[in-house]
Amino acid sequence: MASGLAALQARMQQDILHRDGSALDAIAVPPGHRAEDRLFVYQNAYVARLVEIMGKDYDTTWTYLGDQLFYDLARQFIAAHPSKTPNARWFSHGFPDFLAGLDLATQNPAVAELCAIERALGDAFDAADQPALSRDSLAQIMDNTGARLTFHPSVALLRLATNSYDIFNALRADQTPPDVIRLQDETWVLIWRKDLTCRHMQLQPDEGAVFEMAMQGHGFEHLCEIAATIGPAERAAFRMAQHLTHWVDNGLITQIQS
Amino acid sequence: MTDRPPFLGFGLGLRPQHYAEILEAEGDLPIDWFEIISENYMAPGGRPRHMLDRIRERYPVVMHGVSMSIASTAPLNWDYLADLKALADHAQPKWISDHLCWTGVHGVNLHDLLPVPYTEEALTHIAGRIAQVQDYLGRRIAIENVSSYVEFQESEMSEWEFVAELANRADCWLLLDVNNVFVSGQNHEFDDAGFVQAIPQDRVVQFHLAGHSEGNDCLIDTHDQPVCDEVFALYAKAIERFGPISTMIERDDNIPPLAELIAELNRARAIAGRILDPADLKVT
Ligand SMILES: [Fe+2]
Repeated sequence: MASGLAALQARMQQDILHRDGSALDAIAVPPGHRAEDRLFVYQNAYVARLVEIMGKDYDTTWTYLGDQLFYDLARQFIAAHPSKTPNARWFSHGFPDFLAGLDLATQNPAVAELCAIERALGDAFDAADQPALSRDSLAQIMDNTGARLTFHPSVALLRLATNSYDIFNALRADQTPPDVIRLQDETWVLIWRKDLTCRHMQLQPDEGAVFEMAMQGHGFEHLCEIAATIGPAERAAFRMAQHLTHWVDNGLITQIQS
Repeated sequence: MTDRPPFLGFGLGLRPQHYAEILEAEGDLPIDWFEIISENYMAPGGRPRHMLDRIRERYPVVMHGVSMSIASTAPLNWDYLADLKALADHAQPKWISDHLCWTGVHGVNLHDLLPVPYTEEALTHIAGRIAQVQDYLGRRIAIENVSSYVEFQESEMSEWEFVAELANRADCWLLLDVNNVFVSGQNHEFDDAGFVQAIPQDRVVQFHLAGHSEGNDCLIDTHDQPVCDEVFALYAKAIERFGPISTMIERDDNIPPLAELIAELNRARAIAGRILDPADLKVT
């Protein structure tokens, strides 16, 4: 191990992260210039670059919170969670959970959910490709009581306690978002990519519940039982068939395991 | 060196803002090749990989990374290198490059291209790491000089001496970023033409051109401006020394329409055309 080099890099990193002058006496600058000013370029670029990346990853959350609050929260996140990933694309993955743990989440529980919607869209953007099944495979599922479904790698199902999805849609349409309300019943929002385009839609409570069970790996027969407990039992099979058609038509199912 | 990669001509950094225009032109653009930012295509699927595949159908591609952290004293990140290798197997780049820099230690990534002290210790350390990476990837990599804002008290030699010696010891290629030479030359008050003259001729496989901006106390490598006249002038000196070397423009922010970048690229083409024999500029 290169010990002098290691010590220098540790000091430089410490100074970039904490601006505490650790590296100052190791720096050489031309006459008439100050080491502080030059180190500041790195200190400033570090935060600015990561805030900029977060602004792109969470631009709707940024619009919702406004510049000042978003910058403050992004800086708090960066200080608490320095990037550990070689790909800056992933470093702010924990931002929704970070927001959910703040006092802010009590005042406005929609913020962390809005942020989670954006994270799921970001994840869906470059998740693995996999061909989706067509309607031809519907019969194969319905004839096979034990069939389990595999969903496209981009699929994420979010269970939301507030009207954050309405807020999200309003902001994306450049409209004034509605006031935050806590929903009487939780709602489900599905996020995925079809072809090259990220998509999102709200699921009705019964469809959301069975989708969640299906994602957990429950077989078709069990899904029908669940459907029967949510709505009128005699229409459960019909509704499950509708759900499956809906999922297949949206390119959500990639495999059937029996 | 006999196995030096081919002269690709004049290229651009591939940016998502230009995907549609590039594909619609169906190859009918005065752009000879594209450089991709490796990390942006390391995700498993979706639009980036799709676009890369379509562009590869018509253009040679080279891979340029920002996260190898070859100069770090932290262990090499083998997961990252495995992803890089997998992308290279897929994208079949003409070569792979990264920077003469470190990006962090102790598991942290600062997502910046941090400079090193120009010491014997650093030379040995970095040359050994380049050799390890080249063994693993099964090919020589190209190492790029960075823009820097500080130098270190403990440096024992100049940056150009360091770069030249590193290339020879590690037996790697060099990517000479002409803008970085200019920016660092201004910031550290060295002679940028002297830097270019000190770089071994048989090591350079690629030139970068880019724009920078003026900070409070120094020039900053922002890639958000057109290439300035001084950098084009230094580029002419580089062409005089190195001959036909694959040249491209990096633009990462404040990204203009493709036509503006093509106009800048044509300026580079014209400079090379004035200095070199047309036969030497034929793309192989
Ligand atoms: Fe560069």
